[in-house]
Amino acid sequence: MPIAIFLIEICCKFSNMNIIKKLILFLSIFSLIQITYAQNIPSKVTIRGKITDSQTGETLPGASVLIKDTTTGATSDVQGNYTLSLEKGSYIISFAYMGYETQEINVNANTSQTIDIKLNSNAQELTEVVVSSRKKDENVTSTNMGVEKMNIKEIQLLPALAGEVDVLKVVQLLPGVQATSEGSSGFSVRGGSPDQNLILLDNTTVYNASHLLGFFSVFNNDVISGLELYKGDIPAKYGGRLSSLLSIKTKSEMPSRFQGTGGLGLISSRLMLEGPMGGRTSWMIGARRSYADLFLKLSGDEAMSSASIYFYDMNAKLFHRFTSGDNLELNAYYGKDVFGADKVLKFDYGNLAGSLTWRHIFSENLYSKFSINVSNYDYGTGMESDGMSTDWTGRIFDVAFKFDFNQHINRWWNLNYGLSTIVHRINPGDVTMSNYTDYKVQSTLALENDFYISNEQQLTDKLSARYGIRLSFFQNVGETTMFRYNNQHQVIDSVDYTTGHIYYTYTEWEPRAGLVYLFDNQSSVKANYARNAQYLQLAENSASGSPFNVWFSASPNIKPQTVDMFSLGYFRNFSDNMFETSVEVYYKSMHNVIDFADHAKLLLNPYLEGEVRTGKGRAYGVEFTVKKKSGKLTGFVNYTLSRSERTISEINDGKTYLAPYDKPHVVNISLNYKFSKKWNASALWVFSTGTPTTYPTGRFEINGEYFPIYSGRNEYRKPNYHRLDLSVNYIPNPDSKKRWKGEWNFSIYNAYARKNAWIINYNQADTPTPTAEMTYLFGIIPSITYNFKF
Amino acid sequence: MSKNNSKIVKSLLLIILNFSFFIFNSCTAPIDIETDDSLPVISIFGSFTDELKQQSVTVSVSSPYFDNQPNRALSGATVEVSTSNGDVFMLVEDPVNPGRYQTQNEVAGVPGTTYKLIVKADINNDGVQESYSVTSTMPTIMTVDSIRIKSVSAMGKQSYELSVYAQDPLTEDYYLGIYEINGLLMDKISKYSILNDEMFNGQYMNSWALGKFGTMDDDDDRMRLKSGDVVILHFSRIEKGYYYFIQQCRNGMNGESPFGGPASNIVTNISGGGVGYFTAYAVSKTTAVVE
Repeated sequence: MPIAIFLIEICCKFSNMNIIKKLILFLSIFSLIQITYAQNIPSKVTIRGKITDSQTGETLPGASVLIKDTTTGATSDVQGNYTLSLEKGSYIISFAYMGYETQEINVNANTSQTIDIKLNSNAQELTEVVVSSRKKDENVTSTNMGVEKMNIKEIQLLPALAGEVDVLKVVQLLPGVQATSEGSSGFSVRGGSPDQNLILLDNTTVYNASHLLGFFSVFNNDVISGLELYKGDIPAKYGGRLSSLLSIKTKSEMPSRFQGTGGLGLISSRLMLEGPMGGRTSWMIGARRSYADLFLKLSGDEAMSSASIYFYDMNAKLFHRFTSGDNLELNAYYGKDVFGADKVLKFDYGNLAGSLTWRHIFSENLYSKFSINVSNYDYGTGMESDGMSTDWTGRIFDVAFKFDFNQHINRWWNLNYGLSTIVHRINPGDVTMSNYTDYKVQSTLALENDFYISNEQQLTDKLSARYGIRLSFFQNVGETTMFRYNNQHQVIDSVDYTTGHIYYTYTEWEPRAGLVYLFDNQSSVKANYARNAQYLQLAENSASGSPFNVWFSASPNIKPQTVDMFSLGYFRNFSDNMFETSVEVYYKSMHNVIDFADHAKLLLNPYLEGEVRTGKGRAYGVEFTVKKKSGKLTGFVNYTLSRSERTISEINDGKTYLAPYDKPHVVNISLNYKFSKKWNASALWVFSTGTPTTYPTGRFEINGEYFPIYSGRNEYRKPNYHRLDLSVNYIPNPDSKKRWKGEWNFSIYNAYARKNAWIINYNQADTPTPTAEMTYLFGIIPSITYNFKF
Repeated sequence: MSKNNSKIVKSLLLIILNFSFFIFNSCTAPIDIETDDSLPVISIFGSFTDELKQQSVTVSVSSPYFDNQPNRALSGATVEVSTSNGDVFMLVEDPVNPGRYQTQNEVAGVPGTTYKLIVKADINNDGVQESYSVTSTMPTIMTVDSIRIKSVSAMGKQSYELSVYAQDPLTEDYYLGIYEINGLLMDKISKYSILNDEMFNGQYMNSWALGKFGTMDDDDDRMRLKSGDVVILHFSRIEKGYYYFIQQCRNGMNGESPFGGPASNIVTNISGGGVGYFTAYAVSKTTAVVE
């Protein structure tokens, strides 16, 4: 039945294509006006040429031509011809084509010239139709702002817990991003909550990105190529979350022979293998397994030695090129965390994320991508004793269909448009117990649909704009029993809807626009507005997050959350882009933002919607960044000054309170120094104001025990957080001609043994009246890791 | 064997955390916290049960959370319980236990009767008595067919589990279990067991695990048992509000939980700005000897 529903949806959307055509026409009229501007720019030169296969001489249409480290570029037409219009200057131009090795050339573009390119086939270039890599001065010239990009090489320079650099821990160091709690993979972007981040692995949603309750993330460094974080100004193609888009892609460039990388660490080991399969097909497979629990077996403590705790994950990719205009790509991730205690108790959770993508080139200026993405998150726990058992499971399952088009009309018009539909199926919790009737919280079914169109254009040689709109609509689908609530959030009655019945629809217009004004090629000012809507949220109110993830959707009782974000920034590079600096200010106004009633019951609650309280949120701040991108010493200094607050009439007596992620001052400093080819060292220092918390101001006594009285939510703060991590990389034979290359990493986490308060408890068992004590998660943690590639 | 599910989640996550602690050298340390002191309010805790006894209510005054003196008992209050049957009981202060007010004679409450407590006391020392009141209707009695205490072993640790055999009716029910071990009533709220029938409504509670006890070798603050101990379970159907009061007291007394929600005030049924709880319930007693 769900299949029938989304097929109908897709058909409906195709009929909406007319609207898109009209929009294109409308935009095209504008473009005619713009061309006149374009032709008046004298300082431009033109680089043109033909791109062919080095062996067969076959022309390569749709190859991407990019100024290295930029998004500025072109794609070759059906005859393999490309044209680039550039300011005079020197560039590194990169030529990329799926299934071919990327080629880079240095160009002194003082005059217009023709450069023909022959690419070597390796059948493994898995890049998107338009390769997005980074331009040297992208941070200044791009119309995007509030974007952070890091490639895997930059990520791996940072010191890390247990020697394993984790992508999400790195995200937590970016300006405007705050860790929700130490040891957690949750993060807050510009004052939003952790469930307001859309995390995509190869364009497929990952609902829970944590391993080991957040000490590690699901992303294996050996298989990923880098990360992109959009802090609110999300491309129109994406939506469904208020605060950010974190897009993580697996490796897209693979060399022509069988090869691999791997690592042996104290906590886990990993291996990635890749290679070609015939001339048009390539594959990659990666896996990790933690074995920290094996150390538990050595422990004298019987409770520890009878326990198991581990995670594993696998990534796989298969790419096949049919013709130069058609290719198919299969991506899959599967991972699980398993905890067990002596056969009595077991618990596991994991994600599945898979996609099948077909890219097709219609013509020299119209590219398309069609994909089916499947995402699943589930958890399960079981108890067994005396032959009686309890099992509890929950999950969220998505199937998404996405159609994306990229139409390059002329140099100033680059349109992106498309549509998608996602079917969400949520099972909040099913419990089966021997000797008792099953207990199930009813599952929900919903459709999240959208279409979008956006354009990027240069208004003058100094001023560029990007603007687009996303229309999303969210539909609740039966079969269901929908409860209705009174003002006190108590159920008054219920309405039954039959299978397939769409009983409620929300529609949101989400305009997004940005402007950049270049003072010169070293500095610019940018302004930006974005509106985002969110229909799915997590029933979670703890600081640390738990893997018992219950997602719940907008419904007649729960309005979608929306945000209006305004931002302004000044960007300035120095010394030929060796230094990047920026200042960004933002202001966010959130509507229907969600929090929960005091003492809310969030798990296995059929009346969860009765625990939800909604109101307004406000967040603002300023982010300062200085980066040094090249030289022996590289690194960054980020400072964020911010505020995030909520006003919800039924929480904290209606008084405005601080969001749990409000940390006014955050400083992150990372430095890497390359002493020689053999040795390099890194240091990372992080500082943040303590998180808001609620401390008791009074106590009452019952039968010799004390219970807290609070005066208001989040009125106090925990002690400030700071920590220093150090690491040294040693490459024994950097110039070795051998295929096997090894590398040692020595790291110290929390080098000066700062005791950072993680949670604060009150002890009244050992003292006559309560005293406070804190739990800190980490002492000094040294580690050693051996990494290799062959 | 199943427990309250939120308890399962918590204990599970705490076990996992313990492992992480083990790996990462986590530890606890004392910390000084400065907070403003809230103004003193009245704290009232008491019950009216169907047992024939001197029914009692304890009245005290709240204090700053980190005050190193015990809370002050409130003497000299006027405490009165009136019933829907027209009975009025004046509770007088026990000369041995200041702040404890009890009926002059032994009386037994009756299920279905509504009890109204009125406490008058001068908390803010302005010379005028403030009045606090609360009403509670005694739920029907819940009988237990039998209980069993057996030794269980998990993760190399021995413990005792008390399970209940009883028929749950089709109504929405909340239960309280208080343990009397070798004649001593374990009356601290942290030692209570609470249960609701959400997971087994209308079904037979066939060995439903209600309480866990440690052994004499344990050094934690659990109740401890040994073979031959006599345990009497005082089991009662209670008001929903009282169930949540106990739950919130137990969750809140140790401060933050990494997997709990934000700290919030414990919901009281005392009107007029007081804290605590007054409730009526009927008690059924079932005995078992530790195997």
